[in-house]
Amino acid sequence: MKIAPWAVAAVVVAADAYLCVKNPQDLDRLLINAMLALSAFATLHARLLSLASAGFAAIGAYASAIFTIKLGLPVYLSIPAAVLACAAVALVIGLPVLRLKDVYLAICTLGFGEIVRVSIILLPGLTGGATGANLSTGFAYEAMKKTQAWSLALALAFLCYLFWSASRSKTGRALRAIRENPEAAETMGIDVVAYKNMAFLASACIAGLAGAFYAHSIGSLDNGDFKFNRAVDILGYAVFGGSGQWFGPILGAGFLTALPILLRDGLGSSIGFLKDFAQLPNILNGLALMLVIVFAPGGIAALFVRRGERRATGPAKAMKLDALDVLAFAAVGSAARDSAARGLSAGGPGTFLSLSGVGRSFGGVLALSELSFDMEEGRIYGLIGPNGAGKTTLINLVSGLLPPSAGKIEWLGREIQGRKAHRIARSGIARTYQNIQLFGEMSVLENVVVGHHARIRSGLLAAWLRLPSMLREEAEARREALGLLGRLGLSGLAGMEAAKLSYGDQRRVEIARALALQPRLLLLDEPAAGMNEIETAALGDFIVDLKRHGVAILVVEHHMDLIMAACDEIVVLNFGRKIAQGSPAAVSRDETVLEAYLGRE
Amino acid sequence: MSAKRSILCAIAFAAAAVASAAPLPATIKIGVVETLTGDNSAYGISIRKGIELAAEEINASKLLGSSQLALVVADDKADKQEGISVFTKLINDEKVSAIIGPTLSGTAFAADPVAQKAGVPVLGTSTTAVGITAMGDFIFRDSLPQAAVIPGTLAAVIAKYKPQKAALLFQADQEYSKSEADVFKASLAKLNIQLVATESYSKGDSDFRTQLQKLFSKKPDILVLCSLVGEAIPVLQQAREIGITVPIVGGNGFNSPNVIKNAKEAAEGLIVGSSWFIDSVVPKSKAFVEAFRKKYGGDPDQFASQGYSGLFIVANAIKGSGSADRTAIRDALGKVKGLDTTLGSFSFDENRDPVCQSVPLTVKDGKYVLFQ
Amino acid sequence: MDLSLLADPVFLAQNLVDGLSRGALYGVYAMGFTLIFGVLDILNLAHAATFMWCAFVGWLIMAAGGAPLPLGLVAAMIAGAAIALMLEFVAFRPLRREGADKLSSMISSIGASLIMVSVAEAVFGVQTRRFPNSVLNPKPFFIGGAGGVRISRAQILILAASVLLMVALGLFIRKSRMGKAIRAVAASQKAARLLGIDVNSVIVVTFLVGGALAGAAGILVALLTNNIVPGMGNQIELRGLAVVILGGMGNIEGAVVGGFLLGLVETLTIAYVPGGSDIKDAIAFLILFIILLVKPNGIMGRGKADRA
Repeated sequence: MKIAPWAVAAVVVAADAYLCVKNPQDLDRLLINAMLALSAFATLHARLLSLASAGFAAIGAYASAIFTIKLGLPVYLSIPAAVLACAAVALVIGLPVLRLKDVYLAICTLGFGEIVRVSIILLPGLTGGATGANLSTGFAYEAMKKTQAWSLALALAFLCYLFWSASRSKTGRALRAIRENPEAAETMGIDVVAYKNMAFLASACIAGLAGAFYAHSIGSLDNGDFKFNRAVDILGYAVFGGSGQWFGPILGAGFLTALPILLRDGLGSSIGFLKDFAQLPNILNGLALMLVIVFAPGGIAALFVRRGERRATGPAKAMKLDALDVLAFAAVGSAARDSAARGLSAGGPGTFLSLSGVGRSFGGVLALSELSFDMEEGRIYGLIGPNGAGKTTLINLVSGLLPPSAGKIEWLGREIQGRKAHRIARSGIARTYQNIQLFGEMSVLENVVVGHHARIRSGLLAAWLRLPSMLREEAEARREALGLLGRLGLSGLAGMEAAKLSYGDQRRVEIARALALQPRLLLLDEPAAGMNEIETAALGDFIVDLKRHGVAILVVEHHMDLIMAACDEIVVLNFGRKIAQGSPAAVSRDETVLEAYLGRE
Repeated sequence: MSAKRSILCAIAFAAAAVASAAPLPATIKIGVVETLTGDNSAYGISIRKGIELAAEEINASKLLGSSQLALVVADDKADKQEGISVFTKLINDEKVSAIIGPTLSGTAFAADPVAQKAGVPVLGTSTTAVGITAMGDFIFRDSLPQAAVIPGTLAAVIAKYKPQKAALLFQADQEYSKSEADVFKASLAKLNIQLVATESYSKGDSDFRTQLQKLFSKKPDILVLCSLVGEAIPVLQQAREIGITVPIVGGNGFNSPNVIKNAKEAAEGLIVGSSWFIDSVVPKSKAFVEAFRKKYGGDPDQFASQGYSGLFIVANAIKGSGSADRTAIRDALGKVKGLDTTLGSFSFDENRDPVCQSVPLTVKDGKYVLFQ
Repeated sequence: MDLSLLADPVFLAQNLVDGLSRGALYGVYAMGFTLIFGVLDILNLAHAATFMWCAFVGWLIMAAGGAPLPLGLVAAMIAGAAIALMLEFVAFRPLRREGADKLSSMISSIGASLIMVSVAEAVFGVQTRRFPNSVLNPKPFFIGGAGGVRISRAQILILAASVLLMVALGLFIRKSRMGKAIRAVAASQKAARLLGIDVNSVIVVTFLVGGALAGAAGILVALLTNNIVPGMGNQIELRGLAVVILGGMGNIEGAVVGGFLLGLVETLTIAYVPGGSDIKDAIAFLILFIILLVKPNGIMGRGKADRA
């Protein structure tokens, strides 16, 4: 089903504009809902299924009302103060709650809203209690009704700018990466927990802002204004609009706010025989919801993405991998050279990588036990063993995705066991995955630029101010990433959606992404899986070339030709234990190894 | 109809000058903003029925001469923003002369200021919260505030049962129920009845046994219940199930034919105070109940009655001012005195709140009768 | 703490009875909810509306049609299954075919719920309705004579039904062929398909069973609370969600145990904490909070693979 997205957006915008001209009161409502939708988007986009927006909006609304009425603050102070109050609450509850997954988080945040509501009722002196904040409880309308639509529109426009500029910076990219694959994002040096906390905080602040504006737009409040249904509605705006693009929730809120009003006005007095059927607008509203979501299952904004991607991938799809690409693949990039230089200069005394007595069990089953071996800088290590020998577990331990249950891992003279994966990645260990873990909906280029995350210094503030330094860094990261892609024979695919690539190409993109981190140690988990012989051979050459530029490599592989040709040293695992270690020649003669592993071939 | 004539007589025209102004327009639009969908729509639907019946009668009887009342009905969905939106629409687009509504006080606190600012008279027919009419000189209501009903009801209960101890149950997160409970508390204190226990429930609760059991364990002489109609029925039934036999005094939510219809024998002996009840002997009321049954095939409740009277009050103000002008209607509304309505003789006080009778009632053999 | 009450054993026993039956109310509601939730991983926000419609179907048959309780119960369960089936075909399957995000189906279930509640409002009105006393005598029994522990027939019925349904459903899921298929689909639709399981028909069965459970819940809850209104589903929905999460998503036994826990916590808070009735909602969610912090998959939660 193809729908022209701009037509959809145009219809939504036109409908909303019509409404606002016709009834300016609806403008406030529209803008507040759009703001609430952005708040839900902030969390949803970071892969947090949070329903806390309504609760924070309630806090923002009541806080601003109380600051205005009880403390006599002017409204331009009380609104920011209310936002700060929300931020404080978000910091306190975010810490424990954000550990929860998906629906568990959703229900907990619904519970948060319920607790806020009960607290409002239980503090009648402050909030007016169940009676609400209105004239009868000392919250006079004239003193409350302080904001005009223009200030609300200005605030929303400002928020949109913040979202737009953030989306075009490392922050936006990191969040997109987290949304697609939090684990891979973590091993690319992205502090996933910090970003999720940030997203939750941002969501709370925006919800608080929307709530404060609500209080000053309506002029009265009660505990029912942000109840359970409201929380679901708000999430609905974001989902309906699409959680991939920041403008999605705004379109979603625009559509979902305008629809019932248009239905009301269209049906209200014009259809005489239906005049006693007050539920009709609601029924049609429900029908429209169901219909639209079937045609735009990823939300309205997803329609835009699909089209944008068609444009980008059109010519690229025609490109076939040819011999030139394969040759290019074998040629090492300067990125590796850079990283080697950096690595050497940063290298301190002590061991490069050293494992001693490392073990890991899963529910009582030992996947690895008593594993000890050292790696030296600039050499290639092969890790082999039958399926289930613990090879991937070892890579997960070294890259920090799993903490070991026993033993020590020393990296550049520091113990890193139990250290978070993003910190290990930043310290110079990059990895690829046995089951490809690309950011599937992002372009190939963007996937690789994610690897630059740790190196791009400009943070959110620089992105918001669009500082030249930040723009320069971004451009540089892109240029470097393009270069890396070129050397891996992938430049023609830079604009393509990563998930659309062939298996072999995806593996190479993963390697490019890992190299973008400029690692000193590269962990490759079955890099040749799915490759043909020519490609495998080229990969072998590529690895050797990487070594020549100072990158140490630990490669897990079943292609014995590759292992034998490329590796300086081989570690053999069987049932979680090291059964042999040595040069390829020595290992291939080892009796135990032949028995356990090679013998079976 | 004699009732109509009596209304005419009851209106005191302050100045003949007003009446002799330009003739009334052919149609006069009156906005009706009620909660017509959702959990709270029971009230709104009932009020709307009363108002529509009144409009038919007013137009048929040529109360306003050749001009006709045209109702513009809108659903406020019990939502503040929607209330503001439809108020604005009715005022700006539909150019209504006056608005009746909204259904809930919470909506009124948000929407009424819009009308006040635009200078459009508003008559609430179900808003009882403190402070509604204080929002401005265009805001009126014909629903008696709780403070005008409860002391009288309690006095009648004391006279008969001489209770020493009372227990109270209310809905903690509902504005109406909460303020009703507050008035009950104040009145009990004034009448020297000890409130031995107070319990609450919240929206969404449907099992009230524990709260009732706890109240019951304090051995009160009377039980006071403040619930909306929806919860009133299960609360009553569960109270009886638990074995509470002491007199039960209900708030306004218990004054509905639906309570008797559904709670059946559990409603027997229930005491409520109200400005209106279905077997009221007020002549206007008898005619109203008859007409309502004929038109809708069911019994009206207090809200239908208040809505019905509400439109008559507005129509008489229009007649009195001789104009469909909003300010003129407002001025005429302020002068309504001793108008004969279903609520008995009706006046507005200087705060635009209603002055009319309130009677204690009790349920006997499935009917509301005067409590003595 | 209210000490005078604490010393009263009858009061305590009474609260346990009331708390458990309140909990059973949440449990029977949550059972069907958690089944669909656990298998499909989607928040079916139209479950509450299904539950409400079943109560009305039961009301039509028993109050207006004069049918006895068992017949009404069966009719409501059939109605529930039929409604759930319709939802699957209208609201969920089209989205699954599109490969849509799980949250999209939440939107379409919101739409479906809006339609169902609005139609119920239009058809039945919003006045409270209840089953006549002839369906189930409301007079309670008193254990230990007058002044003893009161328990009504509706309470006995809902307690028995919650445990029976839990055991029956547990056996169905664990022992039957279809139950195993359901578990496989819950663990991974892709893997189940590879194993040759017809995923769509398993989902249809899940909806049928979940809908029938909503039907039973509709009747039982309406019997216990005497309150049949179009909004009755919304009223229980939030608690239902809490119970599903408390018990572990997709865990049938967990839903019932979670229901009992929530019911007991609410009841004992009202009974023994001064001002408890004002804070019981907050307390319930605080406890949910704390439990989830300790056990992020719910009290009886396991990994995704063991679900349903």
